[in-house]
Amino acid sequence: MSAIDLSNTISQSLDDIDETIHQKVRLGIMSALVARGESDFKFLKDTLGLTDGNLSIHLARLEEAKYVTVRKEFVHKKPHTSYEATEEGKAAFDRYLSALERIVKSGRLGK
Amino acid sequence: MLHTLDEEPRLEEAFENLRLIRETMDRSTKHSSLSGFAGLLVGVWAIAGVLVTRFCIFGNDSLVLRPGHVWPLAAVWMAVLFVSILTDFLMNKRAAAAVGKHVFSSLGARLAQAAAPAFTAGLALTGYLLANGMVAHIWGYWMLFYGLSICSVGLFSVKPVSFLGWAFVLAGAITLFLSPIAGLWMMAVTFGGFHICYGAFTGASRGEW
Repeated sequence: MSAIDLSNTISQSLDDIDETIHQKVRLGIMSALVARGESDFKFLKDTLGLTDGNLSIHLARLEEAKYVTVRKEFVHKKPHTSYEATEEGKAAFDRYLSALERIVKSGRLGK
Repeated sequence: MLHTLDEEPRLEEAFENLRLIRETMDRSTKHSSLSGFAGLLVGVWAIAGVLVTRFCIFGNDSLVLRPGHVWPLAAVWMAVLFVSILTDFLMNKRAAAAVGKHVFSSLGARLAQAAAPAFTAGLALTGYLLANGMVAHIWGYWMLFYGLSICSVGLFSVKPVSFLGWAFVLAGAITLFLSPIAGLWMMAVTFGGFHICYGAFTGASRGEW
């Protein structure tokens, strides 16, 4: 691959980088939800090792982008909140993953 | 630090994010499949099975299988198996209900699929050994096949599950060289003791009672 092709591929890949997902905590949340499916707040908090506040902020951002949906209910009279990746969120995650893979592949070919 | 869009694109960053995705997905789908209480209870049922086998079926015989032993032996251990599976199912159901989820999940189906081949092979071999009166080494075979089954589940589970599987495989290999009576006591040590240790460890360290 020529240097120009390599540069074009990386530029194209960067265009596909979604700013909402391109953040460590939100990327972790999306990875967990895509892999496991619907998960509750405590599971996400334990899996990602986050504080309540930090997790809430990033979940709100993903919810705002319509990448996750929230379900609030009472289980045995206790409030229980769970989250699930939307189809839109899963598609955005797939695009992000493909973009990363292209960058890695381009880097390898450029060596 | 991570990831602002105005940063120079870096290959290392892409690698780092791919690693983060892989590790998080891996961690999210790990599952213990046997809770603390379930482990403790399954161990107790196994020890009860050993005691019934020793004192109610064989009595003072030195584990020499006679025609009259086959069906009681099969009945006792089928009962132990049934009660153990029921215990695990009910405990998992309880844990799922506590977070408003259904006990049947795609992950659970994958675990069952992983366990099925070795488990089925063990059942088939058991049928053959009992039908032909070859009970002397049945305990070791059970440990081996159960261990293989657990090792397969361990591929999708937390590390202690794999350790448990390997412990059964090693104990099974040793038990094949022991006398039938020592093999029966090994059943108490493995199906009883290993499960109790696993249950206590899972409950205490991971809080999964």
